[in-house]
Amino acid sequence: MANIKDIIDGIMKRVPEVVGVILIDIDGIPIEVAGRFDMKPEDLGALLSACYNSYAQVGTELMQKLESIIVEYGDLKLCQNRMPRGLLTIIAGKNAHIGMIRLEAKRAIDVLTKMMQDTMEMRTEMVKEMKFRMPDSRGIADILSRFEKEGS
Amino acid sequence: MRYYGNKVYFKILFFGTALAGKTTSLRWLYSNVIPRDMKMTSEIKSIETSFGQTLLFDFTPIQISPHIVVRLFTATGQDYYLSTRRMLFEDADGIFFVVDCQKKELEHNREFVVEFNRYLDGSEKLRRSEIIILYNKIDLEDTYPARELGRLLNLEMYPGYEVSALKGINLRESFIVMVRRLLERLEQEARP
Amino acid sequence: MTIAQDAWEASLLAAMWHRNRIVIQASSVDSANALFSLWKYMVPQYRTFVLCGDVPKTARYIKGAKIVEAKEPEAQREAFELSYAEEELGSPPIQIVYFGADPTVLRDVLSAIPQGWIATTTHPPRAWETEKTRVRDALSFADGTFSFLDPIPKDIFIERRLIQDMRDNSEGVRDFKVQLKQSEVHLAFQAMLTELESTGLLTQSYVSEMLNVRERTLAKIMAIGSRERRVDLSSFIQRTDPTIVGFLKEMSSVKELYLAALFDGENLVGYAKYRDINFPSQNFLRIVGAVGAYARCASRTGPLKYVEINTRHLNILVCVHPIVFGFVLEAGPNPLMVRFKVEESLGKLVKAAGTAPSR
Ligand SMILES: Nc1nc2c(ncn2[C@@H]2O[C@H](COP(=O)(O)OP(=O)(O)OP(=O)(O)O)[C@@H](O)[C@H]2O)c(=O)[nH]1
Ligand SMILES: [Mg+2]
Repeated sequence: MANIKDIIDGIMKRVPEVVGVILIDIDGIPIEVAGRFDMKPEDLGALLSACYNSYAQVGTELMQKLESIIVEYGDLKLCQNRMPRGLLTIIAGKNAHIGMIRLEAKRAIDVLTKMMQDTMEMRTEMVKEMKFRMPDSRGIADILSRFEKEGS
Repeated sequence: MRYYGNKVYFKILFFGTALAGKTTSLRWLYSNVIPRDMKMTSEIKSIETSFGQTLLFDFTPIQISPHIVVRLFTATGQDYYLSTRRMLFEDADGIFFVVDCQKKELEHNREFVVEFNRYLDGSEKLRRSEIIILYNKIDLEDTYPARELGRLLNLEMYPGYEVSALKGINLRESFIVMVRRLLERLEQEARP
Repeated sequence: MTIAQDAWEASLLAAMWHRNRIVIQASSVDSANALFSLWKYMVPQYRTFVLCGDVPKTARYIKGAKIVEAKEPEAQREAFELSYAEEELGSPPIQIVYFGADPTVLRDVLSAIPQGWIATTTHPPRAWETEKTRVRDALSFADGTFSFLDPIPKDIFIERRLIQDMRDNSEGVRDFKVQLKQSEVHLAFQAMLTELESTGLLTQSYVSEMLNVRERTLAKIMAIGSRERRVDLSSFIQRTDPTIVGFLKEMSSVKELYLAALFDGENLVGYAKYRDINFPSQNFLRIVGAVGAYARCASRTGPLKYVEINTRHLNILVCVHPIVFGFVLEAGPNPLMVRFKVEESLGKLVKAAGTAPSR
C-alpha cells in the first residue's frame, strides 16, 4: 500500500517544475515534506498555515469556506489546498503550468485525506493501548530541570 | 495536544495588548531558558511590520524530549489583525495572558480581557487550557501590583506572576509552571 | 399610465427635487392648491416647509412647517430671505410654498428668492412674468398648468427610473419610495462633506464604494447638494479616468463578475459593482499586504504578481502590476479569462492610473 510519502514524491516526479510538496496539519505541524527548502520544516509549516489561514479570513467574511489559494511570485508559484484536517501545499517554479498543478493537488487530496484519517485512528488506538508511552523516556522532573539550569 | 508520527505537540500562545511585551517575553525565554539542544530552529520566526511590531505572529518550536514538541506562538496585539489573532487561539493548550501593568494601560487591557473571555466562551477546549497571567513591566514606575490589577481586570481566578520581560524577572518560573502543567496533563491522559 | 405620462412626471419630480421655482396656476386657488397637494409628495420631506399666503388646513399640519403670518409684502420678503440665508449657516434646506399668490407677490416678493419656492395662483404668466421670473417650460392639464421658471434638469435618469418603478404602486408606496431615494441622496451628500473635511480630496471610486452608489446617483447627489447647500463639490472629487471607466465597462462582459476594483498604491482609482455582493475593496489591499509579509519571511520568491482565492462559490483574484486589480467572481474557470483581459489593457491602464489624490 502506498503511504503519504509515496504520494507526495509522486507529484514531484510527475511534474518536473514542482520544487516542493508539503503536507501540514491545520495548525502547521509538518507531516510530510518533499523537496529542498532553505527553511526548517517546522518554520515552513507555521508560515504556510498562517498564510492560508489569513486568506481563509477573507473567505469567512464572504461566508464562504476557503478551498484553495494560488499565489504567484516572480520566481515561484504556490498552490495550497484545504483538506479536512490539513493543508497540502505545492511549490513550483515560475514556468509551471498552474492548471496542471491544480489537477495534481486535487488527485492527491482524495487519497491523502483517507490515509490521514486511517493513521489518526491508529494513533488514537495506540495511545489508548499505552503503546505510546508518555511522557516517554524522560521524566517530568528531568525535563523541567533542564530549564532551571540553562542560561543566565 | 496533537499526535503526529511518534510525537505529541503542544501549543502555547502569548496573548495580550499591543506592546504588552509578548515578543520580548518569548525572546527572553528563547535565549535564557531554552537549552540549545531543544531548539528546533536557529531563531524565532517573526512576521513583522516594517517598524518592528508583530504583524501576524512570532513562532518557535522546541523539542523538550524525544517525543514531545512544544510550539510557542505570540499573537499580534494590533487590532487590524484581530482575525489572525482569533485563528491562533485554535488548539492552544496553554495561554500566557501578558498584561501591561502600567496604569495608563488599564482600559486597553480591559478590552483584551473581553476579547479573551469571548474566545473562552466560544470554545470548551480553550476553557480547559492552562492559563497563566503575566503581569508585565513591573520594573517600570506607575504600575499596578498584580493582585490589584487582577482584581480590576477580573483575572484573579488564574494563577499569575509579576514579571519583567525586559529583565527576565519571574519568566523562567512561569514558564516552568506552564510546562509542568502540560506534562502532567499528558501523563494523566496516557495513564490507563 | 403611459410612457408619456412617465416622462412628464419624471420632469416634475426633477423640478421639485432640484428646488426649481414652480408656479401652479388653475381657475381657482382651491384647485391650484389641490394640484399642489396631489404632487406634494415629490418635495423632499427633510426640507423645512416655509408656508405663506392663504395656507389651507391640509398644509398647516405639515410636520415642522414654519408659517409666515406677515401680510405685508415687504415683511414676507424679509422672512423668506432670512430663512434662505439661514441655510448657509447649516439649517436644513427650506421649501417655500406660497398659497394663492397674486401678481404683486410673484413680481415683488418671490422673485427675490432665487430658488426653492412653489406658488399657487389663478393668474396666467403674462400677469406676473418679469425679467427674473420668466417661464421656461410648462405642463398643462385639464385642471391647471405648471409653469417652470428654471430649466428642467437635463439628467433625469434617476427620476425616470423611480417613476417607472412605482408605476403600479399605491399613493403611500410612491410617497415612501420617493422620500427614501431623496433622503439617501441628501444623507450621502452630508457624508461626503464630512469625509472631505477630513481628507481634502476624494476619488470618485472611493465615494461610490463608500456610499454604495453608482455614477448616476453620485451625479444626482452632487447636483442636489449644490442646489440645497450651495456648495459645489465637483472640484473635490477626482473623476475616474476614462480609460479606467472603459476597462470597467468592458469587464462587464464577463458575466460571472461581481465586482472589480483598481488601486494605485492605497488609492481606489476604479470601482465597479456588477452584481450585489458585500465585499469591501480594502480586502484586496489586505491580501496584498499579508502576502507581502509572508514573502519577506521566506526568501527568493520574487515580487508578488497574482493571488487567487477559491471558495466553493466564489473566486477572488488579485493581480499586482504594480497597480492592484481586485476581482470577485463566481467560482468557475473564469480566472484565466479575467487575467487575460487585465493583461490586454494593462499598458493604457497603468498610464491612466498615474494621478490619484490621497484616497
Ligand atoms: N520596561 C519594560 N519594557 C518592556 C517590558 N516588556 C516589554 N517592554 C517593551 O515594550 C515594547 C513592546 O514590547 P514587545 O514585546 O514588542 O510587545 P508585543 O506584545 O510583542 O507587541 P505587538 O507585537 O505589537 O503585539 C518594547 O519596546 C519592549 O522593550 C518590560 O518588562 N519592561
Ligand atoms: Mg510582538
